[in-house]
Amino acid sequence: MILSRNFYTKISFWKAWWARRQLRKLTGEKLFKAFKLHRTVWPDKLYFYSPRLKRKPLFIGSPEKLSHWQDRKLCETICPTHAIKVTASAIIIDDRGCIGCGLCVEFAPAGLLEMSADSPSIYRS
Amino acid sequence: MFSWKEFENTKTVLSQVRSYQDQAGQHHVTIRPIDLQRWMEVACEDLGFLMLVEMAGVDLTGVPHNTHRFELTYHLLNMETHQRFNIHVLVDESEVVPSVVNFYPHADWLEREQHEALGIQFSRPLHGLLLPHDQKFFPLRKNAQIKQWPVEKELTAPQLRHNPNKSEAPFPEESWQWKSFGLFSPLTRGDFEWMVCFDPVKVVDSKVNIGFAHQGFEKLLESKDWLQVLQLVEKINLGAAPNYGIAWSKTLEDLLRIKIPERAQAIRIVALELARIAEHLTVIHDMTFALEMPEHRLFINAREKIYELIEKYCGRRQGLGLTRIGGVKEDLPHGWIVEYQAICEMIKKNLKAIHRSLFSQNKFRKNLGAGQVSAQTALQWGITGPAMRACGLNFDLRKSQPFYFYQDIDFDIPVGIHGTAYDRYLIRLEEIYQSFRIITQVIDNLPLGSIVSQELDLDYTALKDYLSHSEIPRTWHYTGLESPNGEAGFLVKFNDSTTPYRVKIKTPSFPLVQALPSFVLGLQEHQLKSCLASLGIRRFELDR
Repeated sequence: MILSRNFYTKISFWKAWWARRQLRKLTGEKLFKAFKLHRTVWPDKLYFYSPRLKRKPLFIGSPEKLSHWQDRKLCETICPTHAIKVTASAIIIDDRGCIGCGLCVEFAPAGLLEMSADSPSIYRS
Repeated sequence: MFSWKEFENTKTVLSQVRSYQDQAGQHHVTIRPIDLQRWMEVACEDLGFLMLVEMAGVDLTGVPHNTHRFELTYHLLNMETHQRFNIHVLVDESEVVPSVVNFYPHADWLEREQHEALGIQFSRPLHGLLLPHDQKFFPLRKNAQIKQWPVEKELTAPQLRHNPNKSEAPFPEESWQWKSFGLFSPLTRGDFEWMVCFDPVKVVDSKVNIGFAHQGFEKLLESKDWLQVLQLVEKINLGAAPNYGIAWSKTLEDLLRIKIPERAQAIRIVALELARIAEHLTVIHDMTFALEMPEHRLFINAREKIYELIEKYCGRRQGLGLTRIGGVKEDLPHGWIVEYQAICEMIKKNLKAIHRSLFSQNKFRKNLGAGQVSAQTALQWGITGPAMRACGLNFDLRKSQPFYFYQDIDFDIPVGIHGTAYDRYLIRLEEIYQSFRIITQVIDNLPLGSIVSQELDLDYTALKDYLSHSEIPRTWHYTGLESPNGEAGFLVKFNDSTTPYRVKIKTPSFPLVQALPSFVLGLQEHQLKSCLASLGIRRFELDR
């Protein structure tokens, strides 16, 4: 499929004007003031990363429940970045190393680990 | 069409072959290093294997029955018959391998890379590519002890010769200026330094330097499990994350002969195409941003809609962690298809209006008609993807080596004429429409059933047991998929253990950056920016 192109044809001023007007109607935006509108926001308003971006495993189970799981060292071996430590009472996740792949959550028994945006993070401001 | 039997009768070079095998549709030949030049001549000129796709070396210490220290693999592609040809060379530490740069210029950087990583000697003087120049060990050898690498000294711009005698006729070089593109520019999204020399207006010379953020990613993968590699590999290009994940799982599935269920195949296609749309929108955004046109925000808005769709499916915006070996992670949620249809129609309608308004502006048309890549350049330097299709070569892995349902789907491959930045823009725009067309066809005929194959629907230890006991071939294997910016894949060699013995990552950005200085001569500065943005060079794809 060879693409059609009218690259060298002349376009009249009014035709161009009409195309841009159509676009403005469609999007409901003022194209030419776009840069100015956004400049005054900082530093009155601070931007945060969306919590969706950092969804990471969180330990929600109890120490008893963890002790029932015999295979609990699996969490350490499975983690591609060695970001997990399993102690007797809890599963500790190093947020700097975690890439959020979800392998630990998938292979742990239900009710122990959960993907959530509330996991403690050193980067949260 | 190349077949081994015909070839066997006609050629006398055959006596030089150590072994031949045909495995999974790819030809493998093992030869001595002395015969390499002759073989490349035959492959390039007689058999029509015009493109050198990838080249990899491996340290064979610890492999049973090995006679030599290293093995080099050249992976060649014939674009007419869609055949793939692997030439293996067994080398010792003291032996010298003849360079193949005279047949494939793309081999320049690849040879430099193998030279510094493994210490293989080639028949031309080579210096380092990714590592510091004064490094004294070879990281990809199996006995290498990795320490912290020394920091390189300060970088300086290349100096021009100075004219001491001003009274004579002036050198034209006096007015030349070196400017730095790349290292911190948001357009390239890359950690490569690109020094460009302008005679005040046009480009005269340029030099590329990569390796600023070298992580030793391939070395890292050798110590990881097959399942862990799947998670790490997706970070190579976040824009095309499903692509790398699916390529890796497809490698294992091909070698172990696992058949994945039809529903999982369909969902994988949907994920691939959605990622393609998002990446194309990003690249077009970069082009318009480079020209300082206010429409660039509209492409980002459209991309956000796509990311929201992906997030509703798998929980992460860019489609990370969506693949599993033998299937996919989750099923499509209830009501997802209705949302997709609404967003699809909206984006299609808006893109037409945006294109019309962009096209009507002289600024856009003038600046994009530059940066020509010829077909010969593309073949020589191993360029694939939209940059190759823009110059008229009709080659797409979805058509030429169709996998999953691609052969049953109705879609077209857009092809350009001139190979300029404007052609790349048109192709990217058209591919967005074609991807929507593919997804709607797949969703209309979405098959029922499970999403993971029943053999592999196990917990982790059982799955690991299953994979370690199944017989995986010990030879090299290449799997490539069509990622938004070109061909991406893996050239792998496995061993008895559940960690890969060697993984070589084939990325589309690597050849593009290598070829950059050859096709930007004569451009002006603002043309250069948009041309650079239209190639879609990404950061971690340059790193190994």
